[in-house]
Amino acid sequence: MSIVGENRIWQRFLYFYIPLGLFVAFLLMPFYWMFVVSLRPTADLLNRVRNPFLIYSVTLNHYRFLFEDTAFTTWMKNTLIVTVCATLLSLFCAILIGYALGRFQFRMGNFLGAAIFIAYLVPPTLLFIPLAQIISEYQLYNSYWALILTYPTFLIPFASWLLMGYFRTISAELEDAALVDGASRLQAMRQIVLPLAMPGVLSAGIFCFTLAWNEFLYALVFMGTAEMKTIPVGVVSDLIKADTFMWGPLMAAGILGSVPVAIAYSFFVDNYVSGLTAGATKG
Amino acid sequence: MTDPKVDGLIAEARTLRYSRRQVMRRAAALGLSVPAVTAAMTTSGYAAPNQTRKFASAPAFLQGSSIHILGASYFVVAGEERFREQMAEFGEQNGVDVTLDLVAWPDLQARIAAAIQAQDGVDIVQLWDPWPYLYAENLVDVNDIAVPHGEAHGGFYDWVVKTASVDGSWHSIPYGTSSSAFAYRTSHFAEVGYDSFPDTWEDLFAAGKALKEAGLPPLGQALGHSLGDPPSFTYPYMWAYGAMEVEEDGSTVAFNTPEFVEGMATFIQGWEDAFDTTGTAWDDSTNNTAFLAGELSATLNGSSIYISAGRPEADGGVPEIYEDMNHADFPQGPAGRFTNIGAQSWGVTTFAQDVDAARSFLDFFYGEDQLVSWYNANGGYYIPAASSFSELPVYTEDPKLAPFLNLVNYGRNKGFAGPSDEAAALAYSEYIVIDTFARAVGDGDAQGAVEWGAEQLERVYSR
Repeated sequence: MSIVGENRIWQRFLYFYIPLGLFVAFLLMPFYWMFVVSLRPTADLLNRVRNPFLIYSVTLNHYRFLFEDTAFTTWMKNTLIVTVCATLLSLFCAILIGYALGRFQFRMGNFLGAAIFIAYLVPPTLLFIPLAQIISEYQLYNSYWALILTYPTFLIPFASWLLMGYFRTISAELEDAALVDGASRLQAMRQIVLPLAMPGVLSAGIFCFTLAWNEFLYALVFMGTAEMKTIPVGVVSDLIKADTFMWGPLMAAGILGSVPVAIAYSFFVDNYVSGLTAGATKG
Repeated sequence: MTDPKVDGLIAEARTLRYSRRQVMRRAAALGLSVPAVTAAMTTSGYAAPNQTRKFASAPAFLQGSSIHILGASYFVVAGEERFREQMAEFGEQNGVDVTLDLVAWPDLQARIAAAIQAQDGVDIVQLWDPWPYLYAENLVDVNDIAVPHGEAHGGFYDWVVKTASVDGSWHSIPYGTSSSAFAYRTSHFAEVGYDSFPDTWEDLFAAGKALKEAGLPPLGQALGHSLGDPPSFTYPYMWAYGAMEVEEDGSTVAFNTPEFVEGMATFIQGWEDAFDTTGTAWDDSTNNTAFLAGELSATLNGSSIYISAGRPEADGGVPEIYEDMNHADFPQGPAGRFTNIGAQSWGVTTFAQDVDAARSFLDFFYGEDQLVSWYNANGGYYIPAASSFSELPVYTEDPKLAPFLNLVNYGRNKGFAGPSDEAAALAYSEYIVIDTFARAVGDGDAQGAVEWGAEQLERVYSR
């Protein structure tokens, strides 16, 4: 005798929970590995007898080293300042660009859209040398502004494209109604379109935040002194000694460096998903 | 009461007719206070040639200056600490603000390139071979410091001259290098019948095969895109089998030779028989970790593995490996025994905020006492650039480190038999020789890989 629904439960496990579990395990594996290595004593890390995925004894020495023997808190502060400022600046510009390109028909509009996309494709490894000259001429070298003003070179094109698509999904009639009721174009944009576009703006913001948080090359070449390093640069320069990696502190820094990004994602995950999928079914 | 050292300097200045600036630089190099020297000069009535002005007060030509130094992260912490002490000492004596910025060494070139483009940001820069050639136009001539320094210490080694001077002129001052020798487990090799490390490449492959067959850890070698260990292995092997990137003229490619193709075929077989074949994906750090974890019986590396193994266990030291391991010279091939070696040096940028202050710091750092204290603090990690330093106890008291000093006797520069110039630097940064080996072990076609490498070198050296 079979029970009603038995098949369905079995199928849900086979086709949903098990693949989902494997996928989650795959995605979380790097974090688990970082966590395990950051808590195991250094001598344990090279022990071939013990299972490398398990923790046999816990030490906080790697975290202590990070906070007491390196300038990790300074790196964290620098990264936060630069990332937040560059993200806000980029979002502001990207909203204006995305709105203009997504809403208006004007000469060269399509060309501008394509040009912005192409700008995103220029790799930082080509851009950093001419940018270095500009940074020097404006005497921004080794200041927060050096990064706050250069990160938008790759953040704005990406965010603009994302927002351009999002603005196109919002009905123009809503805005027209506001204009008929006497709102200015800016008021209509700020009070009608932007609130509706908030999921897209948050998605763009999270992407900008993540890209800026993890950026390495510009932070390496435009920040000259130890007290101005960001986390990606500080970790590489202070925790890798020639060909020897300080794995414990490196993984501890990896865990702590991931926290702000994880928080940003967890707060806005619903908006983020709807922002990404907006327009996906638009005919 | 005057300092006898200051009096000595004044006498020296009179004899050698030093300019005021030369006196100040010499004072800085001797670790003397600049104000004290200028005061003594005034009291003694000394005026340098072509100078009529006597100093009423300290001219302090260095005071108020600042020097920003860019270098690579230190492997030996004590070496970094000593360098920082020296910076502070010089800064205090001369009223100069000296700052240090250390980055991982593969990232140095990006920083240097950006600084050169901006003509700003760095006053003193650390250079690895063959960078002095690349950046000579942006480096100040330091012949007046480098030449006497070399002469006073038995002369620079030939490999130093070839890799740190640019067409015979010094744009940076060499201090030595951190180079490679074979680190190996004596007990493992003894177990398969080798009381000493094999002396030829073919013997090494045979020993590795025996190790693998006996269930012992294999040989390990990085063949990935890394700038340290992969070229340290592939260049010497190429030379040992009679090939070179180019002839002495610096442009005729001499890579595709029958001897080398044969040597490459030997290597392909050896790779399969004796090595951990995942090495094609390794970088400079992988073999360190693997050796210290007991997963390798031998690998090519600087002394960093040995120094790491000797640390306290809580800091990652591995006493049993430290006791068991030793170092050996590079094996030889049909054409001889070779290693790739290139000098590291410090140079002053032409766009330094105060070129004189930066030069004075180098003059100070390369003063004998200062440099010896720095070599000592580094515990023998750096092979010295001038021969007399090789006799320091730090290099002779531990016989396990002796092979590192031997390297100076059979070292060749990148780009050999030509100079270590821009083309050699480009071939190096494009990993051409390394990729030739990686291709060979990847598809097993020795002839095809060497032909590919020769084509790439033709492209680079014909520019």
